[in-house]
Amino acid sequence: MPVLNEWNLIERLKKGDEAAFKEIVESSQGLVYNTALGIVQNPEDAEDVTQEVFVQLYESIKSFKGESKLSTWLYRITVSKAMDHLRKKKRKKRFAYVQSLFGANDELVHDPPDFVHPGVSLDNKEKAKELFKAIDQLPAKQKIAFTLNRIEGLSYQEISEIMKLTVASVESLLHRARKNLRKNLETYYLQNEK
Amino acid sequence: MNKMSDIQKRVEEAMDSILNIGQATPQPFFYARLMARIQRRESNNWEKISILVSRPAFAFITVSMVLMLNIYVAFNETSSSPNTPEMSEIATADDLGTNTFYDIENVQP
Repeated sequence: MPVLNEWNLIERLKKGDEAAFKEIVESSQGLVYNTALGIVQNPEDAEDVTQEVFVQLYESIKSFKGESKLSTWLYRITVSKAMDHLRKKKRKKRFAYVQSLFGANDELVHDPPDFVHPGVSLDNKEKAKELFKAIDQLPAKQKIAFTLNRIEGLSYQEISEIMKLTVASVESLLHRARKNLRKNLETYYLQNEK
Repeated sequence: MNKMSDIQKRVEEAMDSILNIGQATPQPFFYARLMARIQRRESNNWEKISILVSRPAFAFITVSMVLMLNIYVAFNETSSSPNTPEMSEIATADDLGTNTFYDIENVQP
């Protein structure tokens, strides 16, 4: 989105212009959804996170001071909401497990089926499935940096602005993420050989 | 050795599997679903307020606060009144008697 147009839209949204909000949503829903999907690895959860992000934008646009680009702000909200979503989900799962130990909850906790990103080409789907499993096991910061770099295609500079880190820290995070992914995949292939 | 190099090859293939990944987009009519959610939230906020206000605990706390405020004001009034000088005392002390027509018409030269 050109900077001038972006400013114009933000100013209109601050005045309560719904058409400006619609324009922002339609031009940025892809980046928000794609990032959320890369982190939460479930289409329904990603839709939920995307809606939450735009609800927050709608409610707190007045606090946006314009110190960064709107897309940077949106990426920041998306990452934070997606990570919160994952934490809540883990907590729920743990609670359901404890309840099932005491026989209080008869519902079984099912693990979701393997995630396949819709943007992966057909011949790479199986390999990507294993890679996404490994991404899911990465520490939070490495997972965020890797997702922004490899799934959203952002540069180190853009990632450093989103994560409020130096470019060197982002480089280091991505280096460790790749190393951990290779290690996780190797272990996976050794265990599932034949 | 062969086994390890095979695994290494598979690892690299998996790492490269998302090299030219396309962007995922939400299902159609995302904006309509989003606006429905925002409206639901707004009506929920009013519902939350009405539920809070209609709770007996809320009524009890409000009535208690009003009573306490009344008691505080009444107590302050009674405790401060003996120290307050009467208006007539102030008037006498400062010689601020009420003017009569006699005083006005018989001004001393």
